[in-house]
Amino acid sequence: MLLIATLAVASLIVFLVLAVLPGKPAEVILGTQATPGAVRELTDKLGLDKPIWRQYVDWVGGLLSGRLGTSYISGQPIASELGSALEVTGPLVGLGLLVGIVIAVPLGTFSAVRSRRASGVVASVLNQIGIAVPSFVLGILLIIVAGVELHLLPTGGFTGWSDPASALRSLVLPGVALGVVEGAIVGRYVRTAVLDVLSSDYLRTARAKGLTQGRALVRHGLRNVAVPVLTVLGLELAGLVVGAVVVENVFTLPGMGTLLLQSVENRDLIVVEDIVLLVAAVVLVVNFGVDVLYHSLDPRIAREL
Amino acid sequence: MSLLDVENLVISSGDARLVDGIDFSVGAGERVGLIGESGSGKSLTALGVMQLLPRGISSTGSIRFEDRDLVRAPERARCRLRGNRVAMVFQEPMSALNPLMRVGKQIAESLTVHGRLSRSAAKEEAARLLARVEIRDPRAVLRAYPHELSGGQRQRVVLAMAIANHPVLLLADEPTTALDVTVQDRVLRLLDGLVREERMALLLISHDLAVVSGICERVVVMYCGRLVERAAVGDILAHPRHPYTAGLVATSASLGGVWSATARRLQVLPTIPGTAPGAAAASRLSGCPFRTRCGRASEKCLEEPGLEAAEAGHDVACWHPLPAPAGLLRVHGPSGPAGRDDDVLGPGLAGPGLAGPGLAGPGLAGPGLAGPGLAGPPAPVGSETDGRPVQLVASGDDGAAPILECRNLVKVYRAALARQGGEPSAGEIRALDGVDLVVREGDVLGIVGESGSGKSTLARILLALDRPTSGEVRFRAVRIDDRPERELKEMRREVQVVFQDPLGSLDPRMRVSDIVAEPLQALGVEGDCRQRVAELLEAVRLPRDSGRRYPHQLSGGQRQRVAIARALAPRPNVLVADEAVSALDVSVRAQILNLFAELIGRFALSVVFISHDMGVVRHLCNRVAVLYRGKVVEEGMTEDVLTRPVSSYTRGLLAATPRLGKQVGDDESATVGAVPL
Repeated sequence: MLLIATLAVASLIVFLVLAVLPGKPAEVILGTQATPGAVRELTDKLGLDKPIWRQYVDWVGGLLSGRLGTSYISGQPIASELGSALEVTGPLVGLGLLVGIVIAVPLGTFSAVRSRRASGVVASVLNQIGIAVPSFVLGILLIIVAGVELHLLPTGGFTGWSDPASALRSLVLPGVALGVVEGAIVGRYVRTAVLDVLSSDYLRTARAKGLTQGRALVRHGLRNVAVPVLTVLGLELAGLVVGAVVVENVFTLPGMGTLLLQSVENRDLIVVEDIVLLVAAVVLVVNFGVDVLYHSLDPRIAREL
Repeated sequence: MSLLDVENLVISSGDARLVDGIDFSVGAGERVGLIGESGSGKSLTALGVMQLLPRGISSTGSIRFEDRDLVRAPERARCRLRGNRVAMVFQEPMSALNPLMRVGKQIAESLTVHGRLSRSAAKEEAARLLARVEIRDPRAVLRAYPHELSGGQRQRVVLAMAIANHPVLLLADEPTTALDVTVQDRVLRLLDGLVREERMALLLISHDLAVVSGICERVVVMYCGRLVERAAVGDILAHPRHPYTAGLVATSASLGGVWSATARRLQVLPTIPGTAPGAAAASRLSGCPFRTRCGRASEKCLEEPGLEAAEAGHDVACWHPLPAPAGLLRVHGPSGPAGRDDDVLGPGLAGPGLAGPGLAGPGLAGPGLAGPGLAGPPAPVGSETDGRPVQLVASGDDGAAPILECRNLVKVYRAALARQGGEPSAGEIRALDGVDLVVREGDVLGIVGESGSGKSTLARILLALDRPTSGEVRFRAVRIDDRPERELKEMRREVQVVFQDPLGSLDPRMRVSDIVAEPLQALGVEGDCRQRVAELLEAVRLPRDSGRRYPHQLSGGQRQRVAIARALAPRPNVLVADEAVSALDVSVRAQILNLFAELIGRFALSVVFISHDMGVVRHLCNRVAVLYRGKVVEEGMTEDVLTRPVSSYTRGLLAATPRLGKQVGDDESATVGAVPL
């Protein structure tokens, strides 16, 4: 219920924000040479002459019946454009998440366990640097080092999934660029969570039973660390999608980010609306999933979804 | 050769020596109590023995356990000993258990970690252990998560984990402090029985002399990280040699320790003046750490006293110890009239040096220490046996006008699908179930109850901070429970409150003077605020300059004084105190109680004093109501209720209250008031 209500509010906000955006779609599409008559004609054709509430109802009605509409510019159904963009962005975000977790958990744990030693402090500093570097800068660095200098991996473009190996290769660098920043951010949360566990009474009890520090941490700590970290991961997913928009541009990938930027430029409003709403829906569904996962992790949370 | 030999143990955090070179030993099968107030280093000492000190805290010295020095032993060797030969029980049973792991698995882990049992055998053994710690339905508890258990059950689970491998030494750090009185009594009996049957040695750490005296044979007293006295329990109670110990004994004895019929309400309690310096400050202090609070201190005390034998088996670290008793402990007969108690000083307090401002005052030392409970067999609780009428300093009487009253008060909380013992139970919690109470002018009404009895809910409703589900609350005969906030202004000024946790209830970013002045401004009281604040700080005996401080810069006792000053600011007629002394150390608690007693008289306050502690209530209140599961099960004049309790619950509560010199399990009447867990 809450999920649907949130989505409805999100759709309204997306629609209203784009409706007040300057630059009428018809004018942008037809260019500066267009006659007022042609503009009016196109406006009518796109349905943009109708009252704004009517446009909203048409859009949402279309979405509910599974029609995403057609692009103002290409005249193609948005579903197919979005589909091919998702084939790039979906795996990219997934890869970014994976890289992020692979970095965050060991880095955060290490800097927490060694927080009072030099090695832990070094890990913490590296972590902070990771947070400070924007993903596009890291992307450019990766292109220069791994692509241009070492010729290890492709630095841009996407050949499609017909050749999976090649497709994956072209996603590695952008995935790393995306994941390192997320990993650094989540790593801080992992560190805090592990520090909490380390000073917890139940860990002391575990050690009083005769468990070594490492064994106690693995047996009693992991699940307790997972609870707060999972929340952050759910929230950071939105950050990953936003990061993907930027990274796709750096690596010239034909993903959702690229599609989004093009559509904004062209005032292809309906495409923009669909994309933004899709992202909102994904973030909401994932966070709902995190909530559900909570209940299997933490028996204390009453079942009140 | 003892089982555990601690020599020159120093535990430090950076430069601060939190435990400063202590020596003690525990023999095989011996039960030793480690007594100290917060910050004395007693818990750190136990953690030092386990070598499980918090991060950033290190230890030096030697801890010999079974021919091995734990300080120098490699970590792997220590892991083999922990939970196996030496085990520990912690204070907070909730946080001591992993919240995300089933109880059965946590107990079984104790057994499998030392490779003693296979996983399946460990499960069986875990069930047997739960039965051993007297858990009624072991199978169900094995499958439960810690939050599904009661506090007493949790502590039993922790105890089961500790005894799983039949250790030879058990360390128990305040094992019952977080529990209710009746539950504490049963867990202590269990602990006592287990230690005896398993022939374990016990190091029992507690702030409560009565708890320690009920189980242990010897006592070690710590103050500010130093060991100040060690002796047999009887010697410590009968003739403590260190002035600090003497103060502690006197305070504990007068507050519910001994149920002496001669102890009178509102008399000045013996206290130790001042407060203990914080651990960090204490480590910078040279010489005897107690000298700033000690009436016997001299130039000599600038040098640190060593621990020396005052007599056989009785060591004390003091340059001016209290004199040894001349012959036997002087005890006055229980038939002595109340008046004569005043000039009979308990031997422990007889030293002139102790008669500082806090300890002076006639009649304070005698009854507590020399009461019948200590000497010979415990006298039955009750004054009638002495053939003397009970003299009660009752201020409120039935003729006085009711100032605050409630009728048929019911409060129902809607519980969010609470899961208990694995069974989902939806529904309601009746926190209050038809409570009638009257506070007349001049009354000091004690409300006694354990956790879940509804006493805090009652306080909130009396203060009109919460609304009852049904029933009514009247202040000066006017209903207040159904009034909007704007009509409660006068009542808000007249009824003030003091809460349990002074640190939590004071805004950490406000200065003391602003905290005290706030109600004046909020209620629009006219006049010079600064003058009034100065008066109030003086009334609660806070130093003049404390107004500029922040709450965290004060000690616990000082903070509670600030909370009291704030409550008194708008010149209230009624004070509601919710567990106002429960979070304080024993010696400080007595000071604050004395302050309460003084202020009640000075400002003619009517008081509702909510507490779980019978001793505190007996000292302060002229009337008492016993609350159990949202109902008043007994109400009456304090002396009547405490000496001739009618309800079985009250009897159970009284019997369960630890007293100085009473052995755990001595009093069979404790089982009379069968209180469900």
